[in-house]
Amino acid sequence: MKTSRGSLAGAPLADVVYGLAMSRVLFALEVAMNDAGINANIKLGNGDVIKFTHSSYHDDVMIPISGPAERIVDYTCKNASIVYTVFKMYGLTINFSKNKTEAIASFHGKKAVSAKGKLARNNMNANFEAGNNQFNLRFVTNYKHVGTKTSITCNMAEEVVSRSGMMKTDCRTNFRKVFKINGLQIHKKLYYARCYIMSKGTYQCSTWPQLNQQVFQKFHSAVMYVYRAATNKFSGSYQNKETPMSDDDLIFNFQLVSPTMVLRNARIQLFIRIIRKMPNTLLS
Amino acid sequence: MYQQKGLSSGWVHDVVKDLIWMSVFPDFSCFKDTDIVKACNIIKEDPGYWTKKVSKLAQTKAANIEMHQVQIKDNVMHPQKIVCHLCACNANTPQLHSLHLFKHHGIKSPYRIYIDGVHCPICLKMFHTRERTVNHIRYDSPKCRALIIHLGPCLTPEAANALDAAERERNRHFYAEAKARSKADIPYFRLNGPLLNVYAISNGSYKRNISDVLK
Repeated sequence: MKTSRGSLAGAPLADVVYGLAMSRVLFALEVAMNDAGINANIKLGNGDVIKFTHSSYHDDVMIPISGPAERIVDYTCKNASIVYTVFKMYGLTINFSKNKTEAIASFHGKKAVSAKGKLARNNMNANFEAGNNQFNLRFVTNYKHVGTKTSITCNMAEEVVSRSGMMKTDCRTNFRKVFKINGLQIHKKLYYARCYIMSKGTYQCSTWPQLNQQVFQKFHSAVMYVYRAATNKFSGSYQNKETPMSDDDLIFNFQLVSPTMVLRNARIQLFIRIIRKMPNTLLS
Repeated sequence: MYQQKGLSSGWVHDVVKDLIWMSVFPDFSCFKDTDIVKACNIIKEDPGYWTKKVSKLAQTKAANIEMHQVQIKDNVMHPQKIVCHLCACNANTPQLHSLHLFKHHGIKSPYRIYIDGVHCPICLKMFHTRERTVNHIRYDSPKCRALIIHLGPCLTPEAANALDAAERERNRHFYAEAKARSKADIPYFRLNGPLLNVYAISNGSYKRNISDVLK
């Protein structure tokens, strides 16, 4: 396939060309934001100023904004207007629909409660004008990017809880049909359950930080739910004179991977991968 | 040794904890009493070897003993069984007791007859759904609970059941999406006052304004 302009999607040059082209747009955006007085500078106690700028990953851009609590929504809307205008100059159109372009706000300091209430009264939406058009910017508590929900607190609780819910729902609807097949051997059922947990159930779990007890309980119960469905060891499914199994017994007897070990294994594997890829100078 | 590097939280802190935990096993004893940089250097020498080793360790029985990390709170807090006042049936936890009351006797939570709207009449917090408002009274705020019981119920059990039935479709929708029925799409906010004037007993004396009681 011959190309006359640009590069094919997935070609090694595509990312480089895209990065070069996008850097020009982002530079123009930064200049426009500085002219409008919007920034994310944080002044420390000793007078030093830490400047945060945008962070981009391919076609996704994250722009931090700081300001007084009562004006942060206005700043965000103003910035969304600037982003729309700058991108439009280069022939790019911003998609402000759900799960595309959204804002995450965190209110602290003076008048934080009233600002939060004002935003909630508007159903977590803010309207702004750009290029003679009216747009609606959604304020959300978390944003899903590359399959993972990220919130401003970075504790991943929402991601873990939604993954746990997903495991239980999938187990109820789909897997019980598989697990109910009498002719299927139990080790094959467990293999199926383990594959599901390791892939969809714990997607990107290597980057999860330490979970608090409440969140970990949810994750633990979801993983054990899948294991119990595979082994048919629910509380109501025991035969006569059969002793009910605790979670620990179930893991031990069937030689399963415990929920803690699932996370620990993924985390250490990622750590080893980072060490393998990182330059030697970092260790010196 | 690992703690000397000032790693008190975050992802790296968890990795360090994992390395300390792994060092108990004979194959990983080289990670014992070393620091994070030395551990990195050890792994850097042969990352493929350590990847396989960790994967194998994850499959062993010894590594998968949970050591009771998930505390069973209810058993600790309520060591004695709760006896049903209608049929003398035993329950290990308050949750099981409530479930028994509903399934066998049709008795729902008593706090449902105190809430008829979507905001708490005591603290004026707007929760958007009745379910969340009832949960606020039931679990979150002992002060609001005490004062709303003092005010008395505003619904009959039949009216409360009718309100529950109105929310049933929404709850079913949430259940299908594996979400809790108290799922919050919009955060709560406080409505404009004034706060409700009620008589309430605090430290043995009557107080006129609820704001004095809430202090």
